Amino acid sequence: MLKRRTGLIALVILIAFVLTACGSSAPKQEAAKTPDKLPLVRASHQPCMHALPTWMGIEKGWPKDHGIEIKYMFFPSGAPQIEAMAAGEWDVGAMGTVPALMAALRYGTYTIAISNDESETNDVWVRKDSPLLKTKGFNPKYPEIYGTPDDWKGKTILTTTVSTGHYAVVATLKALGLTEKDVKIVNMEQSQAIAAFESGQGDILQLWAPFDYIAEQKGFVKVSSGKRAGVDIPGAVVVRKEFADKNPELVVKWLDMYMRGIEHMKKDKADSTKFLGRYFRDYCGLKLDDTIAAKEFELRPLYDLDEQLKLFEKANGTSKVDKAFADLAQFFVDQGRIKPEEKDKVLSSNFATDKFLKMLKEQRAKQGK
Amino acid sequence: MKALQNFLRKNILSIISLVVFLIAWQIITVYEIVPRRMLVPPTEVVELFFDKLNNPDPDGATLLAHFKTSITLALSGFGLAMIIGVPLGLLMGWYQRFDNLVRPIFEVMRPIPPIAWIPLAILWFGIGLGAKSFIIWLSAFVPCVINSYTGIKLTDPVLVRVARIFGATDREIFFKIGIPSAVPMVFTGLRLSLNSAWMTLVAAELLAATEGLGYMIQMGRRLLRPDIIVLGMLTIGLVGAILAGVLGKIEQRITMGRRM
Amino acid sequence: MIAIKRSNQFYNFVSIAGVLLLWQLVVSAGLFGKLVPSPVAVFKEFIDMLQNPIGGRSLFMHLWFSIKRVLTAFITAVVTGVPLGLFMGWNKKVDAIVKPVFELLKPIPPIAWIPLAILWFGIGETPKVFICFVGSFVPCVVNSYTGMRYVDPLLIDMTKTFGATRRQQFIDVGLPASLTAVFAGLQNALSLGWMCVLAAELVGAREGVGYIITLGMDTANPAMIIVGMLIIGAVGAAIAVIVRRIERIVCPWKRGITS
Repeated sequence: MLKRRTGLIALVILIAFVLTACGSSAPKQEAAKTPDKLPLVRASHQPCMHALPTWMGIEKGWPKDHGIEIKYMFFPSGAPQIEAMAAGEWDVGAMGTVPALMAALRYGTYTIAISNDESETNDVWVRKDSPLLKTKGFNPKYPEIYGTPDDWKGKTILTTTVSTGHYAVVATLKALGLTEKDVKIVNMEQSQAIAAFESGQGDILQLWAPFDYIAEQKGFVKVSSGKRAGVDIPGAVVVRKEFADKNPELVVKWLDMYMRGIEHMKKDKADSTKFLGRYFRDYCGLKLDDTIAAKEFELRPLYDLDEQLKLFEKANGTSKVDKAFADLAQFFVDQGRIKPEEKDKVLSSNFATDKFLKMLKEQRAKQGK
Repeated sequence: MKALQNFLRKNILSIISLVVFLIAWQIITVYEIVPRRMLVPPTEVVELFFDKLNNPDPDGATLLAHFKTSITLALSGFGLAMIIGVPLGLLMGWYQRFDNLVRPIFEVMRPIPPIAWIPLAILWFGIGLGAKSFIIWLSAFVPCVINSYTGIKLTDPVLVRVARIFGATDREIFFKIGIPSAVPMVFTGLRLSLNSAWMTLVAAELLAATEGLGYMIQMGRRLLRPDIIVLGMLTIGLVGAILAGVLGKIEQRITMGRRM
Repeated sequence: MIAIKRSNQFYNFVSIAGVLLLWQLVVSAGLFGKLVPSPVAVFKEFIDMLQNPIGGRSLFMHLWFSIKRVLTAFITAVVTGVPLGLFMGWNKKVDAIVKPVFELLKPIPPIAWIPLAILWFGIGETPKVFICFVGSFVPCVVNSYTGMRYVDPLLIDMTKTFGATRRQQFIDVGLPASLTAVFAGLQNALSLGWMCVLAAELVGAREGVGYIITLGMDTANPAMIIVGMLIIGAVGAAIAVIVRRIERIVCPWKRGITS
């Protein structure tokens, strides 16, 4: 009797080991797949337009032209993306301004280029019957914002706090002479906020692309955005500090391809729109059609290499990019999210640098482009 | 004094173990055996703990406020689970037909993780306390049902037969024999249920929260502050352990003398 | 006997049909606006998902990914958790050393481990398996511990009298006597591990049943969310049934309460 039981236990353990062996062998195979002929750059991106230069480049077989191999890594949002960077999982990537600033503060990452201008796609929405829609341009300085301060006062705003969207909301309130204390801010993730808003919760909804296109499809109306409220929200191209310090030439090679993507997007909108549509649908699984992809191109200005250099050009000590980050950092100080000395520390670190853009410019000049 | 000595002598190994755990944690973080970005040293967590006692920045509320919000939430979900789950479990255990009706739905709903319900919870209950309590209720409800069910199933059939011989009605048997004999199991269920409620906090506070320990962890993520995340986790752990300990003691009192 | 069984199944059927009917009626009556899909719409979505890939993978591939993660986590939890629990139950010193740390970490839900899991393990399979592991580990330890603690002291005393060594007592008396409790723990561990799959797949997954739910949330597609939930529910229920069958074979001396 006892023997049978020991046999049984042994069997269970044996099965366990066999199964664990199966489970653990899978990742190893994956690692073996990447050939190490060309140097590997691991690029991290989100379901967003600023992923397109990399994604399209891979689809079109560009990486080998630039002498690199790219591993494409996908993140639903900025927080897990940064956490993965801290774990050393990726080298370069594109993300929103907020994670870029936070990552610079905590992990010393560099912002080396601007993926696009996201000021218009960080926006604020209401339902069709909202009283806000009666008035437009209450403050003549901000003609595109809907509603009077009285309309906004006391309203419930669904927003993802500590984000560029939150920043756009507070800027809008400021444009109307209000502060956050005049409204009720409810913190929600984007997708949940849409569902809640649709079911009648809250009065005002803050979103960003591509969620705002879903809102548009559902018949909500845009009442403000970062741009309308006068704040700059540039999308950041970020590199991990250790990687950039060790392999600046690889960063430039990847940046070359990324900029090639942006230049292609500026030149051949029709072709790029198709790729963006495919990226949304086939890769990200979002049900967004090509008209929405086309809208992305309308609402998000892109910058080629020379325009990028201009954004980073320091007139009187600060560049446009520096100013955008400084304003954002001040916003977080006002909110009590970071300490004033942390703001000074991150801004004085010059994490937004045109070093790599300049290297790229030189390299291209040498190649006679 | 003597009591303290006794306590120390009794728990000397546990105390040493905790101290060693903390020292090891401190050493691997301070000497960067584990990179600092992966883990913060415990001294920093303690420092943050004292700072958070009356500083609402940077996550929007003091630790005490977070705790109060969370415990209210957990208790509200737990309360509802008790009111609905225990009678349901008792009825399922006693009436075979009722069991057959309810069980399939219960079995399919049970493994669905609470977070998955968030979108539906918003549709049904909005974004206030209701939706969050519902998420907690879902997980707190399960142990209430299962233990009440098992408890009443364990009723000694001899007792039931005796009662029947003496002419008791079904209802009388249910209330006077079934329920009392299920009490110890029901109490175990309540203890497990409160633990589940407490553990579902983080999921529930993913939903439109502006305060609470789960929200604190979420903010720690957005602000890239691992120390806030770890403080949130440890507070949840510590409170959970205390709850479990206290309820375990109460349970021992109640069930004492019943288990012959 | 057969008649009773049939009537059991009849009631089960009535209950499920009743819920579906009620659901359909509530939705048709428009009580929740257009936001909650009817069972018919959910079924259509399910058929659609069977035919078309979701995020580049078929529904079965998603299911397989989730199952693989949970099984890997479960087995790791069993291999580490059961011996730990048994030793804690057997040896007071081990118990005193492990207990405080274990009790402190036990109430921390798997979902709260996500940030640290990413920081420690990146975003491959490991953090996902880790999240499920956290969920499975606790019941493995707790049940093995309880099982060992409740071994009848009389049995141990008897073997002692007959001159059994400490090791013999552990292997020949302690282990078999606690097997029932251990098995109950495994059952719980597998169910809980499966319940963690959604939390685990919040860690940047692009495959798995949890991913289907997240995708449904991101695309504001409630039908997809409900299909995902029902798949998780159905697989969870199936796991419970299968484990109960296995238990009846492995531990035949344990009489089920229901039978």
